[in-house]
Amino acid sequence: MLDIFTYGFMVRAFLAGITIGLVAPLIGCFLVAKRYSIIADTLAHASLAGVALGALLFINPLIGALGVALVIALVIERLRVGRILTGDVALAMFLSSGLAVAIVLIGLSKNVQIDLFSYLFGSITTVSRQDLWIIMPLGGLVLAFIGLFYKELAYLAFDDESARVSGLPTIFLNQALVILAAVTVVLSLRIVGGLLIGALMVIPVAAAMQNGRSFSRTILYAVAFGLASVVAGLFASFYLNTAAGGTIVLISLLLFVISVAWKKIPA
Amino acid sequence: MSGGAVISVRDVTFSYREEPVLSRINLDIIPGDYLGIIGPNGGGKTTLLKLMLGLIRPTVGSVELFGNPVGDFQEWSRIGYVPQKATSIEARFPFTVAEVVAFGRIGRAGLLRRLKAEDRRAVDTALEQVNMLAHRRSLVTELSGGQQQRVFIAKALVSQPDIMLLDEPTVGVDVQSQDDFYHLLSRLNREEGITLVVVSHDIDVIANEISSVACLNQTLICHGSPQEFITGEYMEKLYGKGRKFILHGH
Repeated sequence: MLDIFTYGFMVRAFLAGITIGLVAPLIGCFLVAKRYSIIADTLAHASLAGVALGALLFINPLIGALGVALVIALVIERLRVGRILTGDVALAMFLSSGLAVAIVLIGLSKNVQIDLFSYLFGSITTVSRQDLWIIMPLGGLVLAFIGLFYKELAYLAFDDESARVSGLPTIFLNQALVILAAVTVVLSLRIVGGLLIGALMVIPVAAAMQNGRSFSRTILYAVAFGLASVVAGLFASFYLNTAAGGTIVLISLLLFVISVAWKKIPA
Repeated sequence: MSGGAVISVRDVTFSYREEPVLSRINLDIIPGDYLGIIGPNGGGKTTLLKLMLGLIRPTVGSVELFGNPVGDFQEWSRIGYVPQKATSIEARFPFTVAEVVAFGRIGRAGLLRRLKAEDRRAVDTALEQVNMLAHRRSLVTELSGGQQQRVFIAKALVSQPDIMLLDEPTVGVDVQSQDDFYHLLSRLNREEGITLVVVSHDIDVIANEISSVACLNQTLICHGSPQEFITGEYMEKLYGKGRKFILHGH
């Protein structure tokens, strides 16, 4: 066995990493198809406020992040549907306010130790056993929901209005999609970090779109690229001692460049 | 139900931010009709279509589909909708022709049900009807405007609807493809008995095929046969003075 797996924290990092490598690009496909991928970044920043809140209240920061991300996801969706704010304004507003709240709360909680850097950029050493109990079941839940509603979510991603006219419960499905996005963001917080989650949800998808010859195949490629980025990123991070989130995102970027080059090669 | 109408619009007024878009519209669409809704841009054509589909609710008045208030309507597979193509699908996700047409079966299959062999056969049949079966594995983004439009017709057809509503279906489609497209619609109307509602700002392209015309510019200016419309003074009312109608020969 590779010596990397003799470390408990690395085994936990891989378990969490494989979960997010699967789930993040999967949700990302539906968000990108809907041209809504920026919501991942907004929820990630908002979830940082939840991390700080969690620390202040002495609960697991991931639980705090989950609570705040879910509330913000539903508020954004409500604003979008009600046309109170255009989608991009709401997203930009919550993105910066999330970070602002996080910084203020962290400042207030002087007694509490939060490794802000690890929440911003991810770290392989921070996944606790308790975190795994949050990350893996929630990841399974996201996968199960997408498995059950795959064709409906695909239709919604293709054309919201037509999906509505065909009688699909689009309000419920749209809410479900942002909730799943919020959950995915929180799952990825430990390993990839709040500033880089958006990249893991978008770059493998962008890479997959280069050569995907159908929606279903593009999703398969995206998940394969996501998993490959996380696994390779964790190895690199361990042996080269680089930041996990950054390394994962750079590898996904490399896969994107290879995909674009592959597309250019005449068949 | 108003005399067996497929769609019945009763005294509908729709305002957006206090501005009236449509006022006091009354319109019955009877089975087998091929109705062209025409009028200038901004005259409320798309709004009327969306009201008919329950996508927006009237400020005043009511809409019935097959005799049921649109808010309670359940049998959505009886309705085929081809939205405006203004939201260009260029640079979008790679969906294949077969995947897109299969979306049309989802409402019929119901939530949580997988599409079956029967659905796949229906997809092939619909693609055959619009002469696009050979392209079933192509990406929609790689097709020409005319071909894409045929795919969207197949998607609407695949649920075996009683009525199809099309919003500016030939925008961005070349003239030859437009002609082919409207022949296809006429055939569906005559041979399959599908009721059709086509919204267009361009009267010329639809006047040859339609069985009735509704002219819309905030109010319903006329509703009758295309001949009545061409010979009447409605053109002036609708588009202002000096516009002549030229009927293309076929």
